[in-house]
Amino acid sequence: MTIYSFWMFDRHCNCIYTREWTRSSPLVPSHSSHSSVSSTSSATTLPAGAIGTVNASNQNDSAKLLFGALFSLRNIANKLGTLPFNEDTSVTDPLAIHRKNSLKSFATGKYRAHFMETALGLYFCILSDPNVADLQIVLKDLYADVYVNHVVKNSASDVDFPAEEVIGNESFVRGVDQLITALPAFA
Amino acid sequence: MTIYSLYILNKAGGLIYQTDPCPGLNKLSANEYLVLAGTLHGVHAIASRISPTAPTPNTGFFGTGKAVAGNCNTSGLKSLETDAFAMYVFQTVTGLKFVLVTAPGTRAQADAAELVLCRIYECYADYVMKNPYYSLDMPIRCDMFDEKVVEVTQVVV
Amino acid sequence: MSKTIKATADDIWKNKVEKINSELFTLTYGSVVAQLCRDFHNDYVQVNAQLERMGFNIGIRLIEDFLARTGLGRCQSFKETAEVVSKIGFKIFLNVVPLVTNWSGDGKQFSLVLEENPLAEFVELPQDDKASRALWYSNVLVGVLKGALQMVQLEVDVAFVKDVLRGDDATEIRLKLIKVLRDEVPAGED
Repeated sequence: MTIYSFWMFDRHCNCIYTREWTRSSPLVPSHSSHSSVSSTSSATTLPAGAIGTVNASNQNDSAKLLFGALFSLRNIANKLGTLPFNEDTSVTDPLAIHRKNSLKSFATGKYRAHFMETALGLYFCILSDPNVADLQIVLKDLYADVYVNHVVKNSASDVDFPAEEVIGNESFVRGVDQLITALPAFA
Repeated sequence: MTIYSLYILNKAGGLIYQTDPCPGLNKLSANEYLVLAGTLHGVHAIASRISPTAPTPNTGFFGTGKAVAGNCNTSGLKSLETDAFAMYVFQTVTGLKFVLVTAPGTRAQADAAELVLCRIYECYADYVMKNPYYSLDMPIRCDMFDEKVVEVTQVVV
Repeated sequence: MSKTIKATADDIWKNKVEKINSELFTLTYGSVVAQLCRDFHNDYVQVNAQLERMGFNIGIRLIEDFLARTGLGRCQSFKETAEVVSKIGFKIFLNVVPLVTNWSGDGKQFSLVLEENPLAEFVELPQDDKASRALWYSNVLVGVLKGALQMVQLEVDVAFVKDVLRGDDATEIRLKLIKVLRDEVPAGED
């Protein structure tokens, strides 16, 4: 049971955070050779002792492919699925009728991608071994605890990222690592 | 396991068969179903490109001594889970894809779904392939195949 | 290893295959060949081509039946393909197991030697020399093999080289792998 990587995409379809813990072979490499002006676009340094890479694959084709796959599958889920309209809950929750069917995860023979979309259009995605059970709660914690506390509440950090800007602040990186490495699924 | 829909896609990703044994999904227009099929075909291929692990050599029939499951979907999109439904994809060696949409369930449901899809593949090989008036890769309009599919999906429900 | 294949094939033959009278099968095929000869006025080259085309149409459909019934996945080498075709394919559909021989040095060519041929039981070719020189009576098998292998992305050249009906000592089909159609391999396979 392993967790391979964690990806975040914003509503402008940009990859704003990547964290990879294991890599046995390189993912699809980036073909673009433009040099980035902003220093936050290059790989962020990790705290000592941590394995893997941070923000090394944000411009890679694999990031774009992953976003494309997630976006398409999320649209399929929205279009095809109906959530039963419950008369009781609509009284207490007038927005119940607007809840759309959302994608939770997709799997191949090699990996499982766990997905969560926030109301503002932020995508959280964890790639893990196919045997790992539902990580929706973990994704919710990453959003509610780590992202909201270290990025949203941090006045020095952007919330609406311009193109190629990534989340690089150390407390966020540490927060993500702490949450994920503490999971039993993390080998 | 409640089966909402079954789709069959040909080698190029075109929708050639669709049936909805149980209501439970939104009704879309014919065009939207075709787009859905094409999207699934594309995402299936993309999913194998973003794998975080290296491809492992397949030892096949002779290495393991037993038949590898007919599902040749080692690295393409295999299953999809949402709040309202679960989707399972079975791809044959010849490039045909069978897609089953069911009510959401546990991980164990994936095995049951694979079994259903194998049975449907057998019905396809019998009632569609052996129908001399059926042209390959074209939409399937065979009554006997429809009846068999209903039989298979009823047994499961 | 070979015991497993034989066991699989025997099991499928016994339990999952519907059987018909073999004389009916031989007579039906025989009348098809005879009618073709009459239709083409004994132009055996055309008859051979027609039989191969019929076999091709059978092969592209039969492969799905084969895959669905056996649940086998993709073969990892041409040698494996040869074994599967002879020990499982021929066994399930004709209840014969041809011998796989005469491998070429590069492993891309081999022969199937049929000890018995259910298509040609009790058959004797007409006395005129042309038939025994030009007609491949069981040419439908050539088409079936070609069509079936093409559907699993293997382009193979198949042809008869010897036939007991022609007076040779054995019935032999030669298969040559031309190329693997890599572009057509469905996405999602390693």
